[in-house]
Amino acid sequence: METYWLRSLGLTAVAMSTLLSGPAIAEQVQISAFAPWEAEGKVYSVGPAEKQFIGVFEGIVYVEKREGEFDTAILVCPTTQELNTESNKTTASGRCHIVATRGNVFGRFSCTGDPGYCDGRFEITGGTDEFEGISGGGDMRIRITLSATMRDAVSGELVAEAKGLAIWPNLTYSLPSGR
Amino acid sequence: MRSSNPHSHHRCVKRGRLAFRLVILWVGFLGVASNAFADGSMRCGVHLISKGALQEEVLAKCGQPYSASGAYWLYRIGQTVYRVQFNSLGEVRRIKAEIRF
Repeated sequence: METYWLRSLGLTAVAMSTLLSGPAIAEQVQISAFAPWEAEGKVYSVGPAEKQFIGVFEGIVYVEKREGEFDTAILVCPTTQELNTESNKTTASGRCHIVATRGNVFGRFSCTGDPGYCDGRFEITGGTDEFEGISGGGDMRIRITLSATMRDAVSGELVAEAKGLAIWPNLTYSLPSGR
Repeated sequence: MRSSNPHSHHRCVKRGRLAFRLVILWVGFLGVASNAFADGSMRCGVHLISKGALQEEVLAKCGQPYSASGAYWLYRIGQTVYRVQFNSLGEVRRIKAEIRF
């Protein structure tokens, strides 16, 4: 009889611990990072007072605390940026490929601003290898000298000298547990 | 000595054009084949690194990686970034060209 009660108690304990633990929760990581980058592409006239840049932003990601998976990752973002030379407003959007040591991370961004800077959001859309299932995002600030070049560019002109900085003050991401 | 028959001369020209086209096709095929070969291997100078190579061998032939984390090493060779993955025995498990600038 005593053995029966002990067995029942043991089974109940196992069942309770399984129920209470629930699904594994992914760990969330928050980093502050920046990436000096260069733009290369072409500028086109797309309206009476509108210019459009189509090209690529390339750079290296540095994490402020010099740690984590994204430190010194290579960043490549095919991007389009539009500038209204009358209202002096600019918008940009792009997709990004981050080549980190343990795998690839993909994301998208969009921002609006004045010439010289653009504020918006960055969203992580997926990853490969060790980053499979990654998700997250955060604010993104872009500083770039592209607008001045765009303003004076002849339609179809090649731009290869624009330099800038992408900043993620609080990028948060999580990976499925077990990774 | 040139053939005096105009039909024979025409046939010769046609054969020459056909041979030229075949050479072009062959060169194109070789180009595709060499690209396929390049996937899964990495050339460091005169050395070729492929699956099964040891970590020490990769270091000796390619130098320090651009970045390393656990079993993954990144190399930037010329305009291409390669990710080299090692297995638990320290042998190359996979080499993948990730991006070309």
